[in-house]
Amino acid sequence: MKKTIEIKIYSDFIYLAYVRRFVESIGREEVWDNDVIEQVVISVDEAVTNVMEHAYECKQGCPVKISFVIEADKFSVYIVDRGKSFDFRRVLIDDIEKKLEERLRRGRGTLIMKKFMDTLEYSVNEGEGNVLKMVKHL
Amino acid sequence: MSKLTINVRSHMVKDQEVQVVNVGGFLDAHTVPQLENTLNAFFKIEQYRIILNMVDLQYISSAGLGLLVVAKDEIEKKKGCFFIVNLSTGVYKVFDISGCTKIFQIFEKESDALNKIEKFKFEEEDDKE
Repeated sequence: MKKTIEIKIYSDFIYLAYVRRFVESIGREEVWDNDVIEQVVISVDEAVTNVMEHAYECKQGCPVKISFVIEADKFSVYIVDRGKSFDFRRVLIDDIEKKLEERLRRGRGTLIMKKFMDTLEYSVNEGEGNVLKMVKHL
Repeated sequence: MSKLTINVRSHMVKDQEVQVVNVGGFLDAHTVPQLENTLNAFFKIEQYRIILNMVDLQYISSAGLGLLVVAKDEIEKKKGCFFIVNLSTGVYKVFDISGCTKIFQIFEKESDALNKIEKFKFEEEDDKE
């Protein structure tokens, strides 16, 4: 049976702790491995932080929706915002690890999401906004 | 509520002051300014020998790692040293996957880092001779 669970927050870093607890509670309820729970918790934290920092440029009070669609063999997480879009493909294609050797402050969040989740897709939909979809197979 | 705790202790290694910062709790985009303020306060008084003891750190995101990378660069420019000790398994995994184990000098125990700092001093003195 497919299950959908969704929360909406407003852009403010103070909510990151609540988001992590939300994600962890889903993982515990679904009895995912601890490693899977840790990986999805930090991936969602990184995705939501990116939205607040880049899409909303640290402006507070803007909506961020986080949805989980859980199936027997995988789950998908959707992070939806109405902020500034960016070329996520370019970010994914770029050799992030090489860039990190240059000791940049930013960029590790995307690397963490790429390594911990199985697929990342970014799309811009006129009605809905910017959608980051992350999938992990169980 | 997920918080960050910071406690600072000063050690004397030979005649040099070393700041040991115990970092606990959760280091994310919300709490990172707290640690940034602590490190900037050291830089203002030209303290560039710092050990971060992360024994009580339960969580770190890339926001925390980014701060540590910038701090390390600042410290290296001033020929200081910046060591990280006591990472939990979960926190170590995040360091490792994001390439940070290659960037930082990480020790299992605080005493190992203090010994290394003492050795650092000897190396510097040897260079001067």
